[in-house]
Amino acid sequence: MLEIILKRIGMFILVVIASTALVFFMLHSLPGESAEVMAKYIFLGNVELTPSNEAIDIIKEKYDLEKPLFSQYVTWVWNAIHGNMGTSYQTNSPVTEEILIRLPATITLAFVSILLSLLIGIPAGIIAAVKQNSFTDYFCSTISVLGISIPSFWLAILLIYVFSYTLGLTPTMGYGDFKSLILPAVSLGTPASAVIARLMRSSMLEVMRQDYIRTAIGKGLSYRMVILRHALKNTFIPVITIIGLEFGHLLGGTVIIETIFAWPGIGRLLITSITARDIPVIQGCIVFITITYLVINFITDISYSYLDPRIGRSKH
Amino acid sequence: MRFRDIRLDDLLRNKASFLGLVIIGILAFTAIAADFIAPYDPNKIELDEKLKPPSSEHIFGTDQLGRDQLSRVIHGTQTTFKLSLIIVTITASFGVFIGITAGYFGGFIDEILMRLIDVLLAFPSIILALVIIGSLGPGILNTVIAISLVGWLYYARVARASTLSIKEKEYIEGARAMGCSEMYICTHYILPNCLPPIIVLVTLNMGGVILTIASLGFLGLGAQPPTPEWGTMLNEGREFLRDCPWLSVVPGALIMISVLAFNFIGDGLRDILDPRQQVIK
Amino acid sequence: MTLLSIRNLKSYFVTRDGVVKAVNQVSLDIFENETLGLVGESGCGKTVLALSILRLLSENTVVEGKISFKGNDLLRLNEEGMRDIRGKEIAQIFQNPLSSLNPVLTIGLQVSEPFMLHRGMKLSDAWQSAISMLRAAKIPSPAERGKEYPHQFSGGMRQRAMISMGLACNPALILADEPTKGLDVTIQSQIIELMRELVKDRKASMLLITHDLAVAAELCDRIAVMYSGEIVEVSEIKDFLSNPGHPYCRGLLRSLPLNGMEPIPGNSPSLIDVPEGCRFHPRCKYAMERCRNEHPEMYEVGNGRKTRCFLYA
Repeated sequence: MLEIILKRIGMFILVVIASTALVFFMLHSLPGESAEVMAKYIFLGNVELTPSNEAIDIIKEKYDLEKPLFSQYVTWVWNAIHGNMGTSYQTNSPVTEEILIRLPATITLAFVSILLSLLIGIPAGIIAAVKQNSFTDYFCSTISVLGISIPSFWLAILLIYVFSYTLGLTPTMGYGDFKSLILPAVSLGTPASAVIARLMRSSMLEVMRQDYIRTAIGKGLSYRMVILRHALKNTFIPVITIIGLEFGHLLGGTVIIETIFAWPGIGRLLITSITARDIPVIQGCIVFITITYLVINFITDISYSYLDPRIGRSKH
Repeated sequence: MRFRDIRLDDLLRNKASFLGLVIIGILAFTAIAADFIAPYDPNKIELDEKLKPPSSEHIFGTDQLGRDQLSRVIHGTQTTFKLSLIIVTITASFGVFIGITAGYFGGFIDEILMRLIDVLLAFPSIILALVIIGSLGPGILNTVIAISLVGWLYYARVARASTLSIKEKEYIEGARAMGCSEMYICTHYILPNCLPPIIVLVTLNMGGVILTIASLGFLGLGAQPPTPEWGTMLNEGREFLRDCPWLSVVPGALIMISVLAFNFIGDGLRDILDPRQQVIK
Repeated sequence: MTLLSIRNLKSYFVTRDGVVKAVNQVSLDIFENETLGLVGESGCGKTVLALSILRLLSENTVVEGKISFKGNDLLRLNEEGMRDIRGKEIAQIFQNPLSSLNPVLTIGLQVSEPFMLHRGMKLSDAWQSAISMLRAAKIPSPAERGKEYPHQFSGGMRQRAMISMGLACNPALILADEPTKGLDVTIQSQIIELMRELVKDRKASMLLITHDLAVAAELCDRIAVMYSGEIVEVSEIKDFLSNPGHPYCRGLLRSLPLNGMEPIPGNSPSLIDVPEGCRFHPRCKYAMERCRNEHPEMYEVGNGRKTRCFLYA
């Protein structure tokens, strides 16, 4: 077990290095343009004007943009490890600070949404599978196929129209109290719960077809016990992986939902930075989201090998 | 599970996938014939007519510039379908090519490719698309590039997995013994046999691509106004949500209906291709 | 004394390609304290027959007929009554123990379950009983191995675990479905030895399903031969081996390596599209006009033997 965890940690570090490098090289592959954009912000405070060549040169000098990309990357990583991810072109404040201020908002939203999706998705999937081909099953399956097809941003808009404008129950935007959390969390959690419910159902049906379920029934176990003791643990094994991936989707989704609800989180920061081409902030946000996602997947991987005793021995 | 096992009548018998096929048929027709069936020019501005609710003249009302919403969503269908077809064609062919090559030849190329895919999959897919848009800037062409750069990964993975299992089959050994070239084996034996899961993936992926195009449009990073695109329209209409909900309801509903239709077909295909499902009540 | 009596059992599945008549009008008796072999080619309906007895087939199967066991008709018992039979009165030992054992539960827990269920034991007591059961099945250091998972066991050990699970509550009848399938020959004979010992010790009856006549000869008192969903011959094992009645059984014996490995010509028919008349006639060298048109009954041949062939009519 320890060996697997160590292996995973090694893999995790490698992927973190590779993915940050990828982001870095992608964002800096157009250095001239980026210096130009920086000059626009720093000297002119306006994107519409064209900066002079001198201004661009000063920027290149100041931000080491003339150096080869690789050494820029190494410098960036070194600084990032020490908590310095550069400064925003727009606000001139440190990127780390910009991110940390917005962190609680995003964490709250993501955590409540994933909790909501698990609380709805897991039981709905189990019930649909246990009562396969019943009315309940068709009902759950229909709702969940609608759920995976509905764009979260459209759901958010509909919810705002119904609950904020028509019924006046919830605020359309804002942050701080529980009421303003409801709509963003529902918009974000609904598609995720549909994915989880569908997967839970198909995984459960797959498990119920296995020989060992027949063995369990053959021993005289009640249907309830067969589900609880023999089926559930096996059902969760593939679902766990997907919950990790779904969390990634959800992090991606926060980008849109935070924009709609003016939720002061990292997703919204990312979008405003992309529109303003504020590279250090874009980079910081992406790296932060990616590492969060990798950590979540790391945790699901570990719980996966905890649930499935076969993992310890082989795989590939 | 072979390609010829996909029988069209099975797909039509499944109520959901039948519905999906009908919807896609209608939408595809709308996309192709957009210029002929749209009642107005989608970009014709008539400020006297702005923000009109649905009426017999403008079935879906008009937007903030007095443009006919129906004509705009019809042309939006064209934009979305054109883009997603281009993207899926690029990603599926490139991904399958890479997947088969890696799976069939194995070794060093395979190792490198799989590690690359691992790294790329370390990002939530929309985030990676956002990085690319972030470095290239917003726009319709960059949307295609961003989604394509991420999209091929899934095809490569699936194609590689099928190739790995197919290449162990006896008939591949037989073909090799008969003196078929590696190239011939890949195109005539491996490719046809790994198509079924790829086809399921294409239908399910179409839905995902439509959603991503719309999401980027909605964020103002995809198609730029005045191009009629569902996500962009939804974003423009959002400002007038309280008084003119039709501007948000119609494009959103179309996004959902197209995604739903592709999901219906994908589910139907998967049921047919899953041999265990063959026992019916 | 008859322990289990099956009368006119039919098990059909409805599939896309047609109705699969896996078990067709089967009547069979299993006596107390005997081992009855059920042999036949793969796909002839042996496994479905066994699964029909404990009603372990999926819901889309049609099962009709009568299965009497200790005064109950198993096909008409309610689900709760059935649960009291399963694992307690009638236990099944499945083929392919790797897939038949739950991969995420320890062997010990899986063997403990029948004790908890049918003996009302607590987990700790049931665990002790499970360990002694594993010991009886000759699993070395059972206390440690009970804490392991199925994938940590070898094929032979898994089958031993399967057997100890089946025999846990001293069932009156054991349905063993190809218990030696996929095992090495040396392991096979160990398993056969173990089953003989355990079953005879407990004075239990056993329905042993196999396609291996050598295994049947080792373990069985009587033998029933199945072909294309039907029983074609029932006989004492000794009589069967020395003088098989049905042409199919003669073919089976001749196809043994010991007797020259002469194959039976043709293939066994699909269970969807069964031949008219005698089901074996397309492959039978004794086939007469009558065999093509009429379906033969089971005919008495003497000494309790019955054969489904017009040669004995």
